Amino acid sequence: MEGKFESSSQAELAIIGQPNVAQGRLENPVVVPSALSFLAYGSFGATVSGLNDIPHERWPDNVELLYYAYHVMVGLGTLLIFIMLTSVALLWRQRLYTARPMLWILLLAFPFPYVATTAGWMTAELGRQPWIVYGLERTADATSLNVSTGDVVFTTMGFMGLYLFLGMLFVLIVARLIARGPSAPANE
Amino acid sequence: MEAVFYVVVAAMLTTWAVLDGFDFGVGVVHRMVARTEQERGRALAAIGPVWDGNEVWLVASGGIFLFAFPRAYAVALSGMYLTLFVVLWLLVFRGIAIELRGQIPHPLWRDAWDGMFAFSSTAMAFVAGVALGNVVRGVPIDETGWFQLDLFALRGERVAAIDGYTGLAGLLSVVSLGTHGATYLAWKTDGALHDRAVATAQRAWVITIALGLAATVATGLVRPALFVAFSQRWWVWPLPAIAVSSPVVALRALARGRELRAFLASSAFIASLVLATAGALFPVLLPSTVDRAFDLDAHTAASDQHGLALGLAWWLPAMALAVLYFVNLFRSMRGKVAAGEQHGN
Repeated sequence: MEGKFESSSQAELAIIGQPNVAQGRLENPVVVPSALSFLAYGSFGATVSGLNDIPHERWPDNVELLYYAYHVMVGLGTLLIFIMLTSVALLWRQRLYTARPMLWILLLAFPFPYVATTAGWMTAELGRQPWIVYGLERTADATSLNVSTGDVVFTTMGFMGLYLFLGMLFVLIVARLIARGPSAPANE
Repeated sequence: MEAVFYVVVAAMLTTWAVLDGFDFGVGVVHRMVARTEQERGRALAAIGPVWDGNEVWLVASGGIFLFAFPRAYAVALSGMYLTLFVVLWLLVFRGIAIELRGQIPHPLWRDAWDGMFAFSSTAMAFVAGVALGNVVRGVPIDETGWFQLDLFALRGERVAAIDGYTGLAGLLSVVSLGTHGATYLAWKTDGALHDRAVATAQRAWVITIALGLAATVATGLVRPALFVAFSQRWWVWPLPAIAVSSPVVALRALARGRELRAFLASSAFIASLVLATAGALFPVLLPSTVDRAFDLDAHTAASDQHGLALGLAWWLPAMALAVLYFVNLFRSMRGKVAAGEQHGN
């Protein structure tokens, strides 16, 4: 998920960059030197293994998607932290409710937690591959042999339909709530 | 330790059946007992604060079942894959029907969700009975230790999750839970809603007793070993005695306006049926219709002793907390649901 192909000590942390799996490198990287070594092992000089030194059968299937899921989650998380810190600072000085730019930012940022949470779960479930129990059992070996593929497709489609339906209901109900607006304060 | 957890799982499933049972039951009798939109809202308000917590007993039972008997969990749930997904979807629809109904004050919206509530509750009560029926009848576990059951088989060439016997069990479940739900509404409401609930409960008891007798006979034909085990285990005998006497207690209590007593009798009826089945089946978790040697029993399907002991040490305080909470919850909503009260919005 870090897009690190070459093992090294003082491993750099990639802020952005596109993983090129075929060539085993990051394109257009913007990095923070030694930060990954510190985050992973607590020491700036620690050696972090790259993907190139790990046998291919232990790689997750989809490195690119994993990389982006992780970066989206962390990026949005960092952004949300800054938004909240700024909001708390403004609130402390009682200027939050009249600071229009900040209010706009807060309003426009509302989808980010949904996206970040989903990206986080994708990171976890993509990153665990090919293991269902790390080091002990592979996902491919853990499937129920007595459940047919047709059953699985049927239930997956069923859940997709159900979630689509629930999503539309959610939008409908929340839109109504927003359209109604806040209830009038008691002292007016 | 396996025996302890057998009892634990059976007790938790029974608690689910009694608690969520009245939620399903309200759904079963909803359209009969509540005639106006306001009455329907009031019936939902009666189960509104408790239905979610009641449903959690099923989740908790499943979790303990996985923990204590992982092999049985794997075999049972993968073998009845589609049946389980139907359960999941029905539970989802029941839940959102209750919670979304009050969000938009449009009659079509409320009608639609009331209909979904009634349908999903009834179907869920049916499937719960079917599940118990399958446990009693047994499933085709073969020498591999696995099985696979279709949901239904209209031409009857294969054993299926829903067949004659389990369908009868499902019907008994719908009617007995409907009785239970109607009795709960009689306890929790007053006025016309209450009167109709009492009348419905009284009629439903008659059908419950009839179906109960039929199911008992059918069980004797499908799994005679169950009654043999019964006769040898004297400590189970109080349970059928309760099952036989509680309808009488309930009907008399309903006639005299003693609704809490009627509700407790109805709870005892359901609990005694489920527990008696568990008591007679013990230690088998899931019998095999292919060969008795392939039965899944508590001793072979259990986790190791140390793990079970650790689990029990955690289960006890957790259960104490849960019971405390439930007592507090039901006490905080004691008394009748107010006439104008609606759930949600």
